[in-house]
Amino acid sequence: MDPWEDPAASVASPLAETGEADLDGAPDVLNLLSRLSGPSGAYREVRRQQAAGAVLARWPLLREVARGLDRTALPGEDG
Amino acid sequence: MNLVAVVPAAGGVGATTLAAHLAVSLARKRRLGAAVDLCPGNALRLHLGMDWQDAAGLATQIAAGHPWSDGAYVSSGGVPFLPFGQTGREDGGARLAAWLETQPGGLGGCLEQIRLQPEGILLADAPRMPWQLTRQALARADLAILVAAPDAASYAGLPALLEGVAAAGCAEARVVINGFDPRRDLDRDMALLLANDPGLDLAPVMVHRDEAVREALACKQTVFDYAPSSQAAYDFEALATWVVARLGHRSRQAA
Repeated sequence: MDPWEDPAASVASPLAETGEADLDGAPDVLNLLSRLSGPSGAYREVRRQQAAGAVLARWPLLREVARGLDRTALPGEDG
Repeated sequence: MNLVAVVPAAGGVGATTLAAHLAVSLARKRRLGAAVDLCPGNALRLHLGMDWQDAAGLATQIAAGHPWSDGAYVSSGGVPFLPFGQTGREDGGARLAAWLETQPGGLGGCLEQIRLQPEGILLADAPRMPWQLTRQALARADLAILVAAPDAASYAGLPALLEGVAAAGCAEARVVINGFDPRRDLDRDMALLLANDPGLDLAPVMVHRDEAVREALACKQTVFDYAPSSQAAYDFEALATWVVARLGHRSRQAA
């Protein structure tokens, strides 16, 4: 499931699966926060890479330089 | 002693303008030791109110065999600075580089002698690589500010500059985008591309494109005096604050 379609699911599922949350008592706030930042950070990274790839697809000279710098791993770069 | 070198990624990106305003802002915070212009274009002085016809400066003094420190000035805003000088010779930069190598402490040693604030930051406005003067500045610099416009010319020039920075052994280099206009597609794209490039570190402050900067120079002022409420004035101030914080952080790490 895309965590950005259902943010609550992305938090609840891994905590429940790993058993790291104290579901009967007070929540482990630090652990909860780290879990919250996990999916969103990864999502942002993918979005950033996709956006950079779109930029390179739009401007040929920038694409040439990026290739020269071996930044070809950016998704969409060859589009 | 902290030395900050300001180096352009390409021609016309506004590195001297940025260096001048950074110097003024640091001086206003009482954190500037001195600024020196290592560019044969000799333009830093114009931002600091020096008379256009005044040819004096570091290279001029050396070429004439006079004490180099006599070429130093203090602007009306309290910025101690050494202009490059108008030598009228094409090899003025190379001669200056050769002379500096003979001095105790090189470039850093010379700047040390003219700074007013005991713990002040020394700021060098350096020309594009591969100038010998720029290599000297980068080798001594605690922080290099690589000035890039949000355009393809800067992006194409950055790889060579980054190689030069690494070869000189510069402690830390950060790219600062200068002249950013959020209304322009290419500016937004360039900012995104630079922010996502794993091979370079982008400073957390960028300077927006602001007509007040050009008008201020035409009026022989800085934007701090000409348009103190302008976006550029705010950006330069933020950049100076970040530089002070960054150097402080590095000092604490080294201690």
